[in-house]
Amino acid sequence: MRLYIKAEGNPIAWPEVARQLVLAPCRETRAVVRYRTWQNGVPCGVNIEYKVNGQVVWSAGPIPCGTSGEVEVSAPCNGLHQLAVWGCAGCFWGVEVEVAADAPSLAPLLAGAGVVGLVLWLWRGRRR
Amino acid sequence: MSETVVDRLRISQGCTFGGNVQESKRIYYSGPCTQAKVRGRFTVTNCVISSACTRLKYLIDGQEVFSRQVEAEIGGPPVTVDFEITLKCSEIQGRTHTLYAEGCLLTSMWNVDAQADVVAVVEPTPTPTPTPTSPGPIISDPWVLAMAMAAVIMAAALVAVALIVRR
Repeated sequence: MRLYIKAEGNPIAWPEVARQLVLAPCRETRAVVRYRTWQNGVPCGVNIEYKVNGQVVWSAGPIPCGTSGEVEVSAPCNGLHQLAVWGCAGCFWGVEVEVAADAPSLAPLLAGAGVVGLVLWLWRGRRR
Repeated sequence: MSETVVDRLRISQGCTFGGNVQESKRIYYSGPCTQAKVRGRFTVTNCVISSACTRLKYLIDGQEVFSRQVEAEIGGPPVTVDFEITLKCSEIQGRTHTLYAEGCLLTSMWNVDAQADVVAVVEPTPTPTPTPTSPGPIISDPWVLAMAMAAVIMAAALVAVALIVRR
């Protein structure tokens, strides 16, 4: 599972949000949040928030501009993962942030089953 | 008695007017635990041209478990606030902890440096008499069970499709 945002903003900019739904055979996962911020004007400061199913897994702010960091957290595996960034009140801001979690996805399993089914169907069709 | 530092929260904010600074982290500890603690230290220094009035807080799932207001006077020494909160183990097993500070007023200058360690404590307990245990279910994890059921349904569907196509 990977969430990524690269965004810049000014005092009237909306937050930037990325979401991903994860359904996988696991309950708890390790997630790493990596970020870097840059000066996009004065004053400058960035807020970052990573939530799973509406519960804050990690958030910090305002993070000073021109800094970078990496945080390791434990997150629920299944559900809606949401990453959001926005500036501090009246601030200009720039941020690039990524959340990488060890959540396996059901997609390869479903895709594999689909391909097997399709091949079987085509093979049977030819034999008729 | 042994202690394990499970996680650490940190905040830092230079002299500023109003606003707040925070770090929140979901704490998930599944190791041995008889009691949990949060041990922290806030340091507030004056802001050269004014005193620094700062409100300090520690929250768990949005509920305040520690709150203090301090002011570092001009020319005075830094004000250090140490705190220790005793918690149940369940409060470090999937709960969101927040280290937070804010200016007392929108017009008051403030600053802070703070750190809090979340600690799991294990106290030695008398050795219990072993009791016979009954064997658990073969598949105890509901996700594994769900996956197994999904695999069976998928296989059955494929066999059904194959049979229909063969006719």
